[in-house]
Amino acid sequence: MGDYYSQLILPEDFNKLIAELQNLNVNFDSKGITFPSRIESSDYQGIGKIKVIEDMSAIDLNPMLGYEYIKNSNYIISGYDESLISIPALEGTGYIFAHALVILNSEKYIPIVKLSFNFYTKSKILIEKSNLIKYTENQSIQYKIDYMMTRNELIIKYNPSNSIILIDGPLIGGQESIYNIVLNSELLKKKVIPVFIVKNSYSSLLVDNLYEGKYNSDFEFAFKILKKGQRTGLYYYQDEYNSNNVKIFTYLKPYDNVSPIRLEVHEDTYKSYKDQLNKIFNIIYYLLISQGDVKNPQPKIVAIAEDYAREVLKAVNMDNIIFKSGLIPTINYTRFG
Amino acid sequence: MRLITLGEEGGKIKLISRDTENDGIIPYGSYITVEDYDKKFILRVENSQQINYFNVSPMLADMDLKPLLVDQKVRNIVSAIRIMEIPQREDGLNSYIKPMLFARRSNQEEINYIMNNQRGVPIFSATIYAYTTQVFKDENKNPIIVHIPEKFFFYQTLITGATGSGKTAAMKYFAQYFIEKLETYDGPGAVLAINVKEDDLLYMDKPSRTNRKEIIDEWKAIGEEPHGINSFRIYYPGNNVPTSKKIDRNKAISITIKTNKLNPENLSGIIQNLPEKGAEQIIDIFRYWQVKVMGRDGNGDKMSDFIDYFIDPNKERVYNALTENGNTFQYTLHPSTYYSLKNAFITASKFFDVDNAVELEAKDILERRKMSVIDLSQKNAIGFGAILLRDILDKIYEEKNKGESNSDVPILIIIDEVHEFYGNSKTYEALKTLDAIARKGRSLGIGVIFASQNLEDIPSGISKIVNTKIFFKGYSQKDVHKIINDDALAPGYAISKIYGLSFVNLIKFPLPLGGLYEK
Repeated sequence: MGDYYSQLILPEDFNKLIAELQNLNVNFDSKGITFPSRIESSDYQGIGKIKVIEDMSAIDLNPMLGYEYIKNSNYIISGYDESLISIPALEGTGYIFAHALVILNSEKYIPIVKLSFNFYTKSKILIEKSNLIKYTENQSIQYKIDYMMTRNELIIKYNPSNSIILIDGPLIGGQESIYNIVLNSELLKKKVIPVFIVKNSYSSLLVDNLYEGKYNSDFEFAFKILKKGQRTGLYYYQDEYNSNNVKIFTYLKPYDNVSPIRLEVHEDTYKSYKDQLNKIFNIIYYLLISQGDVKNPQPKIVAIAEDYAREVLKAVNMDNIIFKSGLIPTINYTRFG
Repeated sequence: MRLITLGEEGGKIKLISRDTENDGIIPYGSYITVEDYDKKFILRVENSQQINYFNVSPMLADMDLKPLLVDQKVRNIVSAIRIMEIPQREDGLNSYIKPMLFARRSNQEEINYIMNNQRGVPIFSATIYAYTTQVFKDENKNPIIVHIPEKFFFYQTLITGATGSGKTAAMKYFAQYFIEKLETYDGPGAVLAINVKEDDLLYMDKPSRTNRKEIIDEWKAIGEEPHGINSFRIYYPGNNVPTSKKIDRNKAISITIKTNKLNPENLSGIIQNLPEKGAEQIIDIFRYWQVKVMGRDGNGDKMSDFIDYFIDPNKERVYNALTENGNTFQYTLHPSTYYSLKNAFITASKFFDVDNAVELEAKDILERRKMSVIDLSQKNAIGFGAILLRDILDKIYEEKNKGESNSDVPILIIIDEVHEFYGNSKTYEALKTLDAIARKGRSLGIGVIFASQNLEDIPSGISKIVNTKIFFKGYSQKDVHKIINDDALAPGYAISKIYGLSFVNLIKFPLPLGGLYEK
């Protein structure tokens, strides 16, 4: 772990883009700046095959073993989460991401946070005057693609080998899937075990395939059949149209009367590490208890990553950047320059 | 330990302990030095608490699970006020204390610099955290000494605190310094102390005794060893010979007041619960007796003669009275006033006009390097003591004012349990001499230390004339807005507002070098 230390990475383009926007007199809506929030990742709603891998409805987890495993294991645990603010302007929308990777060794949480800033427009006139402003017909897709790419770069570069990484968001879902699968494959090369974590979803793969008519969603199913500290058996899912969209997943219920969470790994991960998955689930359960937030259950290291991401964005203080630029904001719009 | 500056919040600099040098919590009252290249800033810690790096859920404990070490990590978050910048700027501005600067505990050299004074009464800078008081130490564990500038003595001092709080020990410490070390006014000086409780101040000629290493270390830190005061006298009223085994009887002298010479004004303190009017009446009645009756027509001039005159049933509590201006009136004393005064005079009378006892004069007190203690600790001596105290203060003040022989000797007057003597002194009139002393103390070289257990006991007139206040544990029942929890003050520790040392607010007194035997 000696090679890893806390870092805040600010790409060179970050300031350059601010300068370009200033020079181009882009009209920002200073009141429209959003509070730091998580990106909405779409969970998979498609059609595919479900197989039962472990034919057990509920399996008890052992958090003590999870604790021992963290203390004594050769694996390092890390967590990833992000936070986002968007800044609307007449000419387009700016998105600032803080991507936070937090690495846990026995003594420390080491945060590595990377900021990214993109501005998207449909104005080709604006693009001609700029090197960094991005043209897009569909902002809501493009900013997510850029986010995934930056995230992948950060994790692949900085996440230590021989580790377990917990990533907030589904493995497969919408246009993100391909980037997740690339990330997964790159991490496996570094002997990193990626586990994706999903909270709150209307996914109904299990219900539709195995328990039709009994439950409204997979989360309801898991909530009803699991007791605190249990997980479901493992399920295998393969997309009907894209055979690489494969995942193995389980639902875990960390607290009473609280919706479970879903843990998923890619088939390649499963093949390489299936004998270790139980240990990893115990670790995750321990980290969920350690976090103990019943309103927002997530493994502690992911929660810490989320905190770092949000705090860094707060520290960036876009209001201040606009203010510092020396222009006086008008009632609704201010120029970013 | 090291701290890192974060910024300013509500007028205070916010700091957090550095992760790698995070030994413990820096207590309230500590001084810290922030370094910024060629500049330094000295700050005083105003608030200090521990914060968790990361929240830990109680669910872990509920399930008998151990926390990870990293989740048990805590840091110290501190807010501190800016005391001084070194070097000070000459352009009238103050430098910014930037975020992300390192800070450490200040050292003696830096403290000396900000105090701008390395002379005066050495005491220790102190700190408090929760219920723990400690002497403030630098990074090398050396205690930090601050010097109370000597001029504070002459701006009058109030010391309060409960029994066992260190109040009397502090008075002894000041007294011995005044006698042995004072340099101001061509010191050393003389001390007059009033002893009201047990043998508290009666063996100041003996070295203090203790087996506690920390006390001996403190003496070493200030370069001192225990020793008594060489020139020491105890004055006791009439036949009230002090009985304590610790005292040297050869140093005890019986004193009295001759009634015929008694200034009527000095009777004002004979009863502390006497209403203001009653006090005025007895002064005028006594004055009339002294001028018009005493020594005439077969009347004697002793206190017993005045008492006979006073309690004469034929008078039916109606008395002639002579005011200071020479006007004659008739007063009818209220029965309760009459009986209170009668009892007080009868009680005090045995101390007046005592044969073989001397009258205490200013010259007895105004002797360099001498400590004089008037012992009023024995039965029924307080009423007489109140009169005696006024008498001797008058004499000292006059002597000083006249500028005769010993008048250049600086004097420190220590009045313990001051409410016993000035409890009803709310007006300027009643505090006339004290007020004059307080106001002219600087020019005449007279300092007064007023002490009492409770702040509430201190006559309001006195609170107004003191410039230094030292509060030991239990100093006030009423002050609920105490900034520092004084219940947590260990013996010898005090909250201070010292003249000339304004930014030191928590101190620890060394044990006095003389006159204290630790059990």
